[in-house]
Amino acid sequence: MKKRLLSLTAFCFAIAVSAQDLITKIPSDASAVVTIKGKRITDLVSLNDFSNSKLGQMLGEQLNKESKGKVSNLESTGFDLSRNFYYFLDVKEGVFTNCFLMPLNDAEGFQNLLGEHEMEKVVKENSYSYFQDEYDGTVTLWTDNTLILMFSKDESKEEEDYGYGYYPSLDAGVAVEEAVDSVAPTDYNITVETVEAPETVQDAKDATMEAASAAVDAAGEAKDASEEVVEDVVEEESYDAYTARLEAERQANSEKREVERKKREAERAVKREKQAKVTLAKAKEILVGNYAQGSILRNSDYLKSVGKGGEEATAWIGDFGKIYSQAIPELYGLNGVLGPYSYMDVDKLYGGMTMVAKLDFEEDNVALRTQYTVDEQMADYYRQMYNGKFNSKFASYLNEDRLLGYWSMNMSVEGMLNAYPDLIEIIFDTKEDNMYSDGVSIGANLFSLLIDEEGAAEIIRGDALLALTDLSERTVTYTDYEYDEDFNRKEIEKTKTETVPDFLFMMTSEQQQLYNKLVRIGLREGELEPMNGIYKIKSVGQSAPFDVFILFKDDMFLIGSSKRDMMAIASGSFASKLSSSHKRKMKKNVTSMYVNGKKIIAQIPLETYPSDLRDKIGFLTQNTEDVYFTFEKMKGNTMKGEMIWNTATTGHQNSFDYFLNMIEAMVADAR
Amino acid sequence: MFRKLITYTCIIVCLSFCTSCFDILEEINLNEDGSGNMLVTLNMSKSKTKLASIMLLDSINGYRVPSEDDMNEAMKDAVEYLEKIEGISNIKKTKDFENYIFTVACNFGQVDNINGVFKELIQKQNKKGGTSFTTKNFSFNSDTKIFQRDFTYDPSIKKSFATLNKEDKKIFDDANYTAIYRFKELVKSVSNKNAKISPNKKAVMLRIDALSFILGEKNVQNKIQLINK
Repeated sequence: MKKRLLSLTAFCFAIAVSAQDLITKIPSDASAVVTIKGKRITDLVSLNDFSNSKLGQMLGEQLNKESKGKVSNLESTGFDLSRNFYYFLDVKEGVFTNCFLMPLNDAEGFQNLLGEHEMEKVVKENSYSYFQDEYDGTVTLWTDNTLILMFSKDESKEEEDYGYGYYPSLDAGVAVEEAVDSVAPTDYNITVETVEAPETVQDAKDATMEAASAAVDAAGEAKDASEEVVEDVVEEESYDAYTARLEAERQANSEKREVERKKREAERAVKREKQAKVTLAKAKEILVGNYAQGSILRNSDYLKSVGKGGEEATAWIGDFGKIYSQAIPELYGLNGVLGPYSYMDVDKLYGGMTMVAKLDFEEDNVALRTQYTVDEQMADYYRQMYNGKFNSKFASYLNEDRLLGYWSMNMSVEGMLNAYPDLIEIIFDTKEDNMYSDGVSIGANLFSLLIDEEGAAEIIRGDALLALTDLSERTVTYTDYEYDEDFNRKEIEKTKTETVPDFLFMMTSEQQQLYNKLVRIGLREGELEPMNGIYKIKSVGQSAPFDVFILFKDDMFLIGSSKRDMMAIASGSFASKLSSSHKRKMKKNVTSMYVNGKKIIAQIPLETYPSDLRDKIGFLTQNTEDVYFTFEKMKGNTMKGEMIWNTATTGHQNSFDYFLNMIEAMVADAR
Repeated sequence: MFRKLITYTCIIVCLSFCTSCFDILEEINLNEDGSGNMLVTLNMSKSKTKLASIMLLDSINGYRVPSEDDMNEAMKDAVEYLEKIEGISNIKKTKDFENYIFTVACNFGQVDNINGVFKELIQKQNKKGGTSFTTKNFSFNSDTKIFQRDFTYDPSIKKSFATLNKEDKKIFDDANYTAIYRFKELVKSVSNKNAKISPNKKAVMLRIDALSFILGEKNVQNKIQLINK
């Protein structure tokens, strides 16, 4: 039934998209797809409005300059901005193909963007034209209504350009010769009578005597070798003959290296040419889009993930595991025998993991929503880790009227300590004979045995909240100088006010006894100062621009910089105020973040802004709203994240228009 | 993790809100025979909140933040360096990490000895940066009774300043350089129009802001003519 429903959805989706839509050119097994919906964006801000905006004018000027006057605005670029634009990644046998699909309504307009050098390379075949970059094989191919920009790279093979393969292998004889050279005398004034080692060799010996024993042994061997060579040379060759022989050898080696370099270069050129042909053929295949297995519209995972929402842009990644495994070069890369991933099973971490992100410009906010799906085993670990219980008492110590922002965390330390050893064990269990697999397994088991998960969770349960509770002005003193009539200097103390943040950090802990013991030690050592139920950490105030106070109350450990707030919390007189919306966000999510943009902008002293921004503070204050970020707990195999940037509505048609207006305001004087 | 998070959150906010500035004071008391003493003061007291925050970091704007130990070591090196310079004696240093005020004082046998203090440093800078700063910056002619503070402005200062990012440039917004020269004899005239002669005519003060100096709008160069008794 479910399958039938999905097929029906796919069919409807396929019918819904126009036959002209370039999505049909994306193969069904693409690894990642990004969509930008032109019509949705041009509905938010018309092309005419955009062209008249400062950003549009700047873009127009740039286009005009680049195209030597042939293109003066976005409309004349030839792109059909009312249709969808796509990017997709195709990964097959280690070859990563990146392809951009862009709709055109005026191919001539697009050609006006090309330089003379590019136009000279244009090949016309059938109904399309193309040119290809000679070096990286990037294909730019277009018809009257479609532009394809494509490049690919083979990640499966060792890249020889900078790998070990670049250098000719050194045999033992060459190695000895080089070792001898490295300690050989630089003074070649050698005669038959002179048999003792030159000073430089002696110096080298002296120096190595002081080094570690291993180094001494190595240096000794090298020295012996050098002496033998020196003696041989002395007996058989004159200085001139010796240097001539060395020069001849150097020349021969140099020529040999040059031959090998040319050979490698030729091999690379052949490889590049072959890859370029494959890329071109693929670009032509994509243009036709007649795949045996059908287009991405036949991929039910994709259709289910992206849905048919009204967002302006989407990004979908089908299988992280597949991308990771093919992205890592096999031999000398990270996954090779010398790489760290050779000991790990990357597929356990990322196998079957998919992600979809949607960008949605609403009337009064812009939202970026992401969704991750992981396999059952990973989901089980994440469920344990994120199975936190948020302490609702945290909200009793926040006052929304002053609150600048917060970051809440709702994890389970017990769950983490239970899941991590298993997670580490399965990641390192590569089912192959590697030196870490068994060691990691034993370590993980020992860790699990030694750690009392429940006991640890009593100290830190895993839920915590950090809040910027206020910005307060603090009077600070500083030293300045005054001069009398005779310019004699006199030190004077002046004061000034500075804005410092007030923060409050809270976490749940059931171990008040541990806290009490630490406080006793702190008092005994003079590190803490008692103040009506709270304690001031004396050393922090001396080195930081704020004081720090600690308190333990109702199974909560609190650290804060505001003496007034901390004392009010200790005495139970703190006036709290927090909306249910915030409370819900903190409680329901693994993590949530809030930034009170308007309040922060308004409270930052004007003089601390860069001078070129000061006259825009009024605009910023009027137009800056709140920003939220949340990441939900696991539901089934899915995790969802959401970032909402609220935008001002007055003076802006919608949130997209808001950002254009913001850019316009910020660059107003920069032009 | 929590400690780091709290520390970094607060530091970032402090760094954003607190101002930064510094003063450099150069004081020379000159005797009639050309000997005297010199006191150089770096006063960063006005920025102490920001500096206290910076000192909690490992690096800022891509620059490594020196620790107190590093600064102590640097001052010790400076004193050791001064001790080797001919004619320089009675070297004293003070350091105040609470207010961020650091001083180095010394006596000199003749004004030319002061040039030895900066000569090596300037030579290194000229070689490294391709600049052409003069290595002889102080002179006193006991016959003509002219005390001279030389300095040739090099446009590379302005160029180097232009390469700094906005945040780094802000440091110089409220920075000042003050030079005070005190004499036993009376001052007849000064060549630098920004310099002031004290009412008792025995001292000269020149105070310029760092930006004017960097941009070449004002110079520390000064020719002070004393009255021959």
